[in-house]
Amino acid sequence: MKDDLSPLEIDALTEIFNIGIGRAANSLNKMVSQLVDLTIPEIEILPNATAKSRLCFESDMEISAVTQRFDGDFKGQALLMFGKESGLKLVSTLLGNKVPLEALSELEQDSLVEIGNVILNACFGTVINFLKSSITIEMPEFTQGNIDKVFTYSSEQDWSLYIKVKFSLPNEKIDGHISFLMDITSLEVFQESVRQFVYGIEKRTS
Amino acid sequence: MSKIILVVDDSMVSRMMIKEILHNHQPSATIIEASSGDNALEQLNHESEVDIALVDYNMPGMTGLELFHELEGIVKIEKRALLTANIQDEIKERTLKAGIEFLNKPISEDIIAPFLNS
Repeated sequence: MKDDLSPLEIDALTEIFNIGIGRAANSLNKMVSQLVDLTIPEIEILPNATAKSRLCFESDMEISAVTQRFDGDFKGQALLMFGKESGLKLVSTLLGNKVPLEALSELEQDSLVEIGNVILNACFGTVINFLKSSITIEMPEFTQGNIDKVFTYSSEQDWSLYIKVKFSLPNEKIDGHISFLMDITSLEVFQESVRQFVYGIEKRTS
Repeated sequence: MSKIILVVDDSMVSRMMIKEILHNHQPSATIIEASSGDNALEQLNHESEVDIALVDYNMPGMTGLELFHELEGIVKIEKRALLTANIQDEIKERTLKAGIEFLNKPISEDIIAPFLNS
């Protein structure tokens, strides 16, 4: 499965997500009035368990996550994850550092869901437009717990499209991670969409 | 004399899309293609003048802005554009302040052609 996408197709997918994440960062930048640093997306097709281990969260670390399920031409879930402390700092920054830290937890869920909604939709919108696909996106949900609670999947056997993006607010030392997980059938449909996209470019440039 | 155009982007697909547009608007141009800032510096070793440079911002190693900074004093570039998915105001301000055009990805003829013809 890992070899099913050619280097050029992986390159195209990386670029598509790069554009989506760039838009997401711009939205986040406007929400918190700070420059948001981004890493270039790392895209791999990995077994679910390997994808999970790549996130480098300690097993006892408390994570705040926003998940958004999607369905249609392909289905799965997108995950936006922060260490709990980073999540609280982000909420505090969003609220202009005016709310005392101890009062933040009440606002944490609402704020992170809103941030997740903005970031994940920027990614979805870009991918869907490029691949000319049709998917519906469910409402974002908030989850808190260790990596086993946050990063869940239905089958150990499935391979996933694993996209790792790290973004940070350098002034606040806040790091976040984004991953997209899809089951094997959806992955195949998704791969075919990517192939069609690249084929279109190759045809025009040949 | 044909123009020399520098295209720097870590994405091969992006470079292909840019070259397609360049081919339509500057068919006789010589295109120097690089996948990173370092790669561009190596390839520009023997060039003293470039007519147009289209450079991605977010690349492994140096950013597009850092590359433009490195090139100052080494290569004279007539027209420079940062082509990026990172559309944050601070990046845009830094780019424009350096006298570099700021072009938003995704790459399209509508974005590139006006810059080429300006």
